Amino acid sequence: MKKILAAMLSGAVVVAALGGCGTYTDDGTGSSSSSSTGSSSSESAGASTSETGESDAGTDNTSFTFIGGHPVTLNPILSQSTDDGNSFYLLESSLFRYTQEGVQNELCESYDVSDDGLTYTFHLRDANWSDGEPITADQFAYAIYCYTSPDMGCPGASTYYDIAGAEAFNTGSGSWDDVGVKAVDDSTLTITLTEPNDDFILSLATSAPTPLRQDFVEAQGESLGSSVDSLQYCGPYVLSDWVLDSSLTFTKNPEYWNADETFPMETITLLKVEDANTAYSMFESGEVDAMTSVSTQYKDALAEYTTVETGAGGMMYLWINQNGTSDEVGEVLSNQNFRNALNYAFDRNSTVAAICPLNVPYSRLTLPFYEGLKEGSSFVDEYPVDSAPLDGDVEKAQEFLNAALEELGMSSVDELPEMHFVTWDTSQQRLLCETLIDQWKQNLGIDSIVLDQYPIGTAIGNYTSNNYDIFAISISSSLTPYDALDNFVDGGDYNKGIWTNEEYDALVEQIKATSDKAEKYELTQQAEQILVDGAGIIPFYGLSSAFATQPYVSGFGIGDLAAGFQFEHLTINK
Amino acid sequence: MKKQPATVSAAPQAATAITASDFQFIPREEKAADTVVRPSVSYWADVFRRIRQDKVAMISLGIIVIISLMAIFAPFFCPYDYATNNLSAINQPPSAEHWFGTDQLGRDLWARVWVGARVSLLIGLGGAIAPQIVGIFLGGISGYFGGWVDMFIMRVIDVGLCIPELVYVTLMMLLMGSGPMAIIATIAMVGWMGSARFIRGRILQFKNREFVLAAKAQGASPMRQIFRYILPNILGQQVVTITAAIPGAIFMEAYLSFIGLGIKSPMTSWGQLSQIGSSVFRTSPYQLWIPGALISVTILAFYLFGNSLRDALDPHLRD
Amino acid sequence: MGKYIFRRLVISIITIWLIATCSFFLLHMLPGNPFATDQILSQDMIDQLMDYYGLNEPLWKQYLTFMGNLLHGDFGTSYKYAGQSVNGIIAQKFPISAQLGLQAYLLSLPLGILFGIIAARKRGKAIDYGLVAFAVLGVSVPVFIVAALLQYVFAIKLQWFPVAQWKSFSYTILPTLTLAIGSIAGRTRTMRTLMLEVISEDYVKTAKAKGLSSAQIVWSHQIRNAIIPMIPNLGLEIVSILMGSFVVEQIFAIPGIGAYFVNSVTGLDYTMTLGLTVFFGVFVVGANFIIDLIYGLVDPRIRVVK
Repeated sequence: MKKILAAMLSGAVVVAALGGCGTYTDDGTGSSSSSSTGSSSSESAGASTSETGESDAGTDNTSFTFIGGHPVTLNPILSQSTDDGNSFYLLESSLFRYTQEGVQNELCESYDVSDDGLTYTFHLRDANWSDGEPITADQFAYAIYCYTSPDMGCPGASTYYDIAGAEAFNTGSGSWDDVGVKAVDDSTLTITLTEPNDDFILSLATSAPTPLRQDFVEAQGESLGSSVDSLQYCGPYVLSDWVLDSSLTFTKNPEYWNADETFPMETITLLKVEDANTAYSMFESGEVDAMTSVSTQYKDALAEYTTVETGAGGMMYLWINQNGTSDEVGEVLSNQNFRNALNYAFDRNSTVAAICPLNVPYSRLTLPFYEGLKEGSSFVDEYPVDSAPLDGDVEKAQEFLNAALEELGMSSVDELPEMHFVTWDTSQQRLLCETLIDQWKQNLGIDSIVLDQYPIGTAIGNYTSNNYDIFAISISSSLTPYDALDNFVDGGDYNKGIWTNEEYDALVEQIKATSDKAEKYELTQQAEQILVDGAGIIPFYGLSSAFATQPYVSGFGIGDLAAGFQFEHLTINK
Repeated sequence: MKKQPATVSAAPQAATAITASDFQFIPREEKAADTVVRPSVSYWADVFRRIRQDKVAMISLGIIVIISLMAIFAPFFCPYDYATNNLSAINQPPSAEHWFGTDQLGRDLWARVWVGARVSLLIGLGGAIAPQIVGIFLGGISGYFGGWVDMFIMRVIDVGLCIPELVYVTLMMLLMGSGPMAIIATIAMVGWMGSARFIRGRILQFKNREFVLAAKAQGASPMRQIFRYILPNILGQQVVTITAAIPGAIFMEAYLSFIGLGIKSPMTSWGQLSQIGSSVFRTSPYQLWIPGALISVTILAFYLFGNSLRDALDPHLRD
Repeated sequence: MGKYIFRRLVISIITIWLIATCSFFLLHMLPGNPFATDQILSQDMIDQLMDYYGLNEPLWKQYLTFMGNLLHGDFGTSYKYAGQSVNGIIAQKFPISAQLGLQAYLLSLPLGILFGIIAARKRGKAIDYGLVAFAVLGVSVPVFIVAALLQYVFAIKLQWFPVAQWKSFSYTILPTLTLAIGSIAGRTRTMRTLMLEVISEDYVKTAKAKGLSSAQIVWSHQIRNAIIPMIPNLGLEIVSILMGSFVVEQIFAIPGIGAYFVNSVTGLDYTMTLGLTVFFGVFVVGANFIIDLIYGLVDPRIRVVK
């Protein structure tokens, strides 16, 4: 679950790196639900109701053009990026749909859970593919076969490890027959889990496995999802035109089971415009109706069109590699006081305000969007941890530093070895690292931290092979606060031996073993405190999303957890 | 090139009008006018003299010298450090306090521009000259000798030019780090092939000319033929090529930093400054115009100076 | 002659093989893997993908597979754009870049040569200085500034042309101009210099002495000789202009091939980079082959020996 989220959500990294972002607000939801009924009649009304807009985008109210991230592949098996997921949201259906209102039943009309919490039985509704063929349970079973088969190379395979036998099958030690997915008949699918999991439905909704038809997938082979004709559609739209890295045209799919109630737009055009100045100009001149990201420099110019959603977009961290690029550096960086000196010495508030003002500075691990135990309150409010102040605390940082130097047997900061802050090529990333290095220099007198900038492939390669001392990169949000912590246990998804704490690992194990939510949260708080104190990973800021829409657009949403282009109730009224 | 004064077609008509009175007897001893009375001026002394007389060249040189001096000394006299951030004074337009304003991290642009000038001037000149030197040498050999040497070098160039330059740029920079010398070496490595080709073409054009054949007949060695007889004919064009390559080298560095391979932080360069400036040019235009104007002025000065130098160097262009 | 052409053909094929081989091994020397992008994947996911694409095989095996496919004219499937064949992407993107490049070339070649001739013939006059100033500005102002300015003035302020995208001829005008300005400027400078050299050559004086008209001298003695040194790089120049411009295509949101040359290398999309390199290489080698053949025709003093 965490892993597919990593794939689904990490697009926020890119977006944030470019200084932008995108999501929806509650206002949008509210106004859109009222307009959705009106708009379902607009199919026939078309342009007749349009006002005399100055816009060049045409005056019909059933087509929508926007600038956003483009999929690199529409092969559902090999897809790995958020941008792919966003488009799949419009093109395919799954058992559940993660909408602005939360998880909704999609192709699954209802489901039962066995008493032991292990077996889920899904009853599918009558629905068809865009070519009129019925959607059946064995298409789902075949799809999960594709996603977990060791021969298919699905990068998100581990998402399905909750399913009994899936891990063994995927790693080559088991067979498909033992995997707990069975199509009982055309409209009944059962899935058996390895252990009970309350979040399984949420996980299914966010990972959204699309059904696949065996004959078609086998006939397409490698070219599946590479063009308009090499993909089958069971979602609200079909793809009618696709110019790679340039434009995608979605046309409404009349066969979609809920076509009358939702997704009122007849055609949606998604443009890719990489240059922020050009995108702004196109928005300014009315050539497009919306943009999924707002670049920092146009923050003020676009203020009245922009919706900012803070929260689930992911989190930027500084990663401190305790092994270091050399033994000498390793010794310094494995000193907790030294790490904390770095942690306390920089001013998160003004750094974020200067470089990426749409984001929210943060110094703990769990993001504010996780719900608390009480209705309407959040986890972070109920379970505070003691962490570095957002303005920084130079005095405390110096105390940490002096303690560290004493422990290391050094008389001054000049004896510190050269440390490598590794990053990649975007200018925002560079600015961010430059100012951190400068703040450490100004506040602590450390001038032995150097910035190593590489092309992105090389930089991330260095990150994955632990060939860095300090690295700044964001990762996506997890579904729950304890999932977020699980990433950082020794050997966890994002902690390949850079930080180890047995107490922490034991607590995370304990969280997993507990089923009581309150207890889970309490343990989570304890574990988080250890992680924050340890400063192996230094939280920096939470990524926001910001998108701009023309005033006549309502219901535009990208949704939290970046589930996709949530245009269920998107309407325009020029 | 001035227009030739006499129209040759008029000559035959004039010839008919010649009478004996048009001729004059010259005493034998006056033929000594052929002997050289003034001291002989060497090629380089002559070049130097011509340059000095050229006003445009001198003004351009003056600009280059001023900019170079500023690059060397201005950062020492600036109250602000080029790398020190001041997050409470970001994106401030030029003022009495910050003459060129501040950038996105509140760093003083006046200081940054002159620190950047050091890098850009070094890389601009080095990156323009280095590939030419390699190119002249290998292109000269290739063009002059022909045969399998030519074939070999040309094949290397054919292959080398087609491999995406980013591949070796990345490799070189990863191997050599990202100091100015590494960048110059990288530019030389990528750029020599084009100039070698060009030189080869020029050598082919000149190697069968009479004056080269004459030198050859007198027993001049191949290297002497290339460097003493052919090269001066090509040098003029190459000087212009070098001045034309300066902007290329400056922007190559900016491009390298764009993909994460440029000069190492916190150093900066004009190319980088203008690139960052262009991303905010609708909101803080001065961040683009200041480095942009400096680049243009410098390049213009180099170009005009190069032009004059070419005129001075090229034996063809002398009156 | 037939034997000569055959020999050159063999050499050309060997050159292409060398290009493919050198690029293959150089590219694999770069650290990282195609799946290390800013979308961070867990090691499990990377391993899955590496296995699926056979990137964990020994390098020589991968090389043989690559060469085998290449012999069939198949560049393979992109790692980044899963499912997209490199051939398909080239087929979709190349014509757009080629059109843009050709338009810019057709605009810049005659204008650049013309400006160069005018500047050289009017040396030291106001028009010369004007053209030189233009040439210097054109070269010293980076293309991203030119593009942004043209876009700002003609698309946003005057609204004569669309801001970006690639739909009809009017969409092509601004990017064409952007590309052309730089190359007109460069060509003007080169042509002016070459013309100045030629003007004082003996054969030009001879032609004058023989009483040829000024136009005849310029045309058949000066221009022809001035152009010769430009020829050796012509092949590469034409091909590079056909292959698109990363910056211009990005600023005008043109779905050309330029960006792929950059992104595929920095993103280590091996198949894509190699496919583009070989495609580009075939073009360059082919163009050079033709140019070598006609080189001698243009300048009788040069004989491509043997």
